[in-house]
Amino acid sequence: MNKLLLAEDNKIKTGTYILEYHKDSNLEINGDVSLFNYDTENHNLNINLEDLALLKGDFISITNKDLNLTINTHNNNELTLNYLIINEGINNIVITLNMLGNASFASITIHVINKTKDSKVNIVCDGIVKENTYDNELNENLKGLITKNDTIKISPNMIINTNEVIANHKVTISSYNPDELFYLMSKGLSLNASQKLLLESFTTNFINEKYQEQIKMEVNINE
Amino acid sequence: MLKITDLEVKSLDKTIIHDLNLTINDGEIHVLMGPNGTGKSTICKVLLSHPDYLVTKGDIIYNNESIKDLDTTSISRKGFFLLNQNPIEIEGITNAEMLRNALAERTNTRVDIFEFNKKLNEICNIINLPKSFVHRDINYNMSGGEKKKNELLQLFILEPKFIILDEIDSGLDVDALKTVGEALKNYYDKYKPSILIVTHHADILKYFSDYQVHVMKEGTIIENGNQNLVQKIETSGFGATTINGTDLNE
Repeated sequence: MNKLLLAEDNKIKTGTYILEYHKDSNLEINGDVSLFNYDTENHNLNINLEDLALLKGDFISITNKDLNLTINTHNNNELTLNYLIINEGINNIVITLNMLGNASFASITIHVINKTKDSKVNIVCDGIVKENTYDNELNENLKGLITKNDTIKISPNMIINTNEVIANHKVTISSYNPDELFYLMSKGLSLNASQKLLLESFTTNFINEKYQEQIKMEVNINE
Repeated sequence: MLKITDLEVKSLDKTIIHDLNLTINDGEIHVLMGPNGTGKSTICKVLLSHPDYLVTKGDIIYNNESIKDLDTTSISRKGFFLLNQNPIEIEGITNAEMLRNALAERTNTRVDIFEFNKKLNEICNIINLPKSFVHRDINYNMSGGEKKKNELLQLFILEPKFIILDEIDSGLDVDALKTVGEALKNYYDKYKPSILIVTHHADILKYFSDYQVHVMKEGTIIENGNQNLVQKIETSGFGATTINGTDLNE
């Protein structure tokens, strides 16, 4: 696995990379690429998939300011992005997927929580499929978990300019599931321990194992 | 000993249970039967203080202490275990993770992982469950039979003194029923817990030799008996049967 220190403009080929960056960056993807990104410094990122590129991304942002992530697909791309956002403060986060070419598949899963009780996060997720394109598929699954007296707003926007596309989006914002809490407590776990397990599950189960312990620490530290 | 007296339970201002009395001594097995929608599953949840239900009258006494106002965790730690008819799936939390946490909290000590894993493996053999289930997410993507066995795995680890089985036999094929029935008998013979069984059928009861039977209708117990009462219900059904002068289909 390569560590990749991003400059302003970067081009990467087939391989697995851990992103490190100290400034807003542009990234060109060529080939079959896996990206791991644990960002605590709040940078904006633009990703461009060249024709036939495959990108599997596990992104985590621990953020206390506004963020932008933009991804452009072209022809015959496959994009799977799992993105965990742990927000602190009042911030806007904009994720934009532009499907500019044909025959591409994109699946974006985003889970978001607030770190502190008065935090407010506003997520705007735009899935844009360009006119005169065909055979694209776009799936967005966005979830927010309210754990304190915090606020999560998610706006899933699909801007579809062609008939030949499959596009789905799903948004859930909720507190802890009372049936799950009852189940865990009926096995003898305290309310606090039950919530902790559910929070860890929400934040880690869709992200590569590599980051799970780091995320658990991040979540637990702020209980 | 569990003693339920004059119990009234409401949910969203609707009375679900009323005038219910039931005593279960230590080590006794009691069976609750009755048509659908009579409140049998509600009783199971109320005993564990489910937040959807409010006890508005009466009391639930366990070992001389009222438990009706205790929270679910406290009741569980007194030795209660509820096995639901359709156990919930929780993605992202493994059985081992939950059980380790539950045991650690109960005993206020760290769980000896070696002993814990050894015991889990032994239990998997008893209930004919692949060892991989220990590290699978709780009931996630499991069949109906696998979920029931998975719950039994938890039961054997937590070693409850009062077991509530809410239609454990529903959705089980013949082989799974045999495994579950024998595992429960094995547990009963070893630990002699009290057991409350909610069921529509006699199949699971053949694994137990001595039990009392109660028939519920419209939120209360209308008939008490023994194995003969089960046979009567099995033969004539609830819909057409008159038990001690009460037509269950009225």
